[in-house]
Amino acid sequence: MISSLAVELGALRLACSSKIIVATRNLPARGTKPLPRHLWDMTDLEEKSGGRYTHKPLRINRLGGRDPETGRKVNQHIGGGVKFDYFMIDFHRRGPTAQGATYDERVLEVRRDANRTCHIALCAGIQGKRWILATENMKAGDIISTSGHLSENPVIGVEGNAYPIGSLAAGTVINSIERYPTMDSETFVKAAGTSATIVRHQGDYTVIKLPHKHEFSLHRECMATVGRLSHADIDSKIFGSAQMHRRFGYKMSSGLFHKKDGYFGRKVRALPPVRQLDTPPQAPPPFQRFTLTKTDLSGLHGHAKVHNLIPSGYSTRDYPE
Amino acid sequence: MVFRKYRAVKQWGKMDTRIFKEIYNSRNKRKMPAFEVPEAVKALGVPIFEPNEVFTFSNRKNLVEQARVEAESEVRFLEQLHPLQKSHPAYIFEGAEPMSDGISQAALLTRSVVRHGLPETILHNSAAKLEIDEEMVRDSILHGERYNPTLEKLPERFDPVMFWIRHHRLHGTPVIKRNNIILNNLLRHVILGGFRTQALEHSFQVNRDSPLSVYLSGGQYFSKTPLVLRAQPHLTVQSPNSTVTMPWAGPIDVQSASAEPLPDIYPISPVIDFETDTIYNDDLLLTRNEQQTHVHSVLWSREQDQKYPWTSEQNMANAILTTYAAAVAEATRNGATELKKPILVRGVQLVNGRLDLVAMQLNTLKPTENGENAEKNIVWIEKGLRLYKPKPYYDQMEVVDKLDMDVFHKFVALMLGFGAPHAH
Repeated sequence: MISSLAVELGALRLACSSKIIVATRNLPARGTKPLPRHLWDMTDLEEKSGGRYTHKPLRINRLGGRDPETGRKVNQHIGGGVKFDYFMIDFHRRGPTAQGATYDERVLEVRRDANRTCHIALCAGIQGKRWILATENMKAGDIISTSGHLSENPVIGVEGNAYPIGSLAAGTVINSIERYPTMDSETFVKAAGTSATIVRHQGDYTVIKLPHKHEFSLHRECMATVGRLSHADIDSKIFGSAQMHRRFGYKMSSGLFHKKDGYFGRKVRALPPVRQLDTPPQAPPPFQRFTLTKTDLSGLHGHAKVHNLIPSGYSTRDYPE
Repeated sequence: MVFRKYRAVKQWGKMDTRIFKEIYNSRNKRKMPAFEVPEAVKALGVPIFEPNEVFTFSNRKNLVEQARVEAESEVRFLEQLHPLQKSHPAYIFEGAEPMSDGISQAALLTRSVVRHGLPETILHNSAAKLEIDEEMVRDSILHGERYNPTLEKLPERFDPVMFWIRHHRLHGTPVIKRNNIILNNLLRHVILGGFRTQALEHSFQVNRDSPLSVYLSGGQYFSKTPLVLRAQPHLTVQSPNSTVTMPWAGPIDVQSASAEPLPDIYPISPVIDFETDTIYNDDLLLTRNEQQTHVHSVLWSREQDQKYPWTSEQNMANAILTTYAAAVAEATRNGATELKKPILVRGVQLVNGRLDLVAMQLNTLKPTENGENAEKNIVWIEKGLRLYKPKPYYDQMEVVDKLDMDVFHKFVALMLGFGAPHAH
């Protein structure tokens, strides 16, 4: 009876439309995501490099685990330490799209970088010098090339060269993979010794398998560098002391010991389905700040409008001159 | 209540606020006399506007428009170019950035064929065999490294192993100053010894820390963007005698050298290490530009960066380009645009106790390949010759370690090796 009334009134129209309301149950959290590290102040980097790329070592501010906007401590395990020179890395290697045309560079130097785990390589070409992430067997004097051509037949990639992922053969080991075919997108696979694999090609998309075995479907034009990243033996290297850890800006954990409960430990779950990265996420619109007048706050509009002085406490009492 | 001599200050209460507000409001109630334009302002004849008048109503709008136009023109005046600013940017070489490909890149840029080692005739020149005692050379090095009493604040020390240690800031002689003193002393030995053996007829004219700037354009790389080579060598040595610039290689050697190909540094572009900047002056800058002298050599020193030291190749490339700048300056002084005969200019760079010796024979002024121009310059180099083993800047040198007199003799041979005039 009530439901039929409700239908007449249109209250249940939601259920009839194409949008299906899915009930969400608040299940226990599936592990916690790692906190943002907030190591370097990127606005300071922008200021010091003038918004342009430079291969020169920079001395940029460290955030020490603090949020760049609010300045509040977000990650309590980051902070302090020695300030190392910062090298800007060019993650977006773009080359000519014509068939057979490549942009060649020579590796001038491969060195370690205190600010990241894998080694970095200084490359020089026609357009200038830049730092890239060094692959496993990259050494000074190597010639590396970049091609933006999407070939019809899969290409067997050469280590250190950059190609669009759509033109690489399945099974190729790649790193520094753009998420979207834009010059400002984030990249996958940047840590030492890691690599992703090309799984298959599907139309305009290519499926890659990341080091944590999740599969992502990316645009074919996204560029990636062939090979595994250098400094794979970083895991076997040790800081040696807690003090040395702190010199690099990593702080010890602190707090009372809590006994682990049933939510800890590995849950054996099926891998998530392939995630497709189609369009770059739009930045949310900036917050606006408004100040309401007393009249606005009083809520006395239209017919209820009174004289401006009345909400301010005006009375008809006479005051001495 | 007991008697209190000093009354406590009473706190401002709500009644005080009320009294204050009453006074304030009653003051606000008082009527002010209506504003009248003063006689003095009327006498000026200035247009006077009602402040509440509608903006578009009167000719006030025109006045505002006029003010805006005036302000814009002022901005335009501020934004306009400097009257001497050149319309095109230029590549700038200042010896601040190392050449990526070292000697090959410098050879390509200066269009020169590289000869490693000084020629035999110059090395075994009997006039250049000076009787200079080893002790004198030791003393001239210690003059810079030990005896100099300067107490300037030295740079912060960087320890690559114990990177977290903050070392004490020391005061002493800066490295550049030490090296400059050593170069001065070595040059003095050469001049005095040259007089003794009569290898030198005229004394050298030496200018210290004078700027050198050369503007090059045209050719393969600098037709669109010219190149400005800048340097400030500690010693610019000149002589009124033109034999100091006599070339070492005769026409036959030059011809054979011109047939040799220039190094190929693909995929590196030779201009990537230059900075691009606007320039205001493309004139030649050379000390004693107006005088009848000839540049014999330029001598300068470099300090290695503690974190990012240059390689010996990069040091030598810097030496070649600076010497090339001096050679071009010598060839184009007094407004000369063409090279009538080849000239030779020497360059000596002291870095970390090592000498980089350069002899640049300028056969052509055209900087890079330009179709029919096949002539090439010749550059003789001696790379990274260790004169002595220096201590780091924070250590005091007591005795000169591992002094190499062969290197000093090579230096003398370079400075006193003049081309034979009859050979040309």
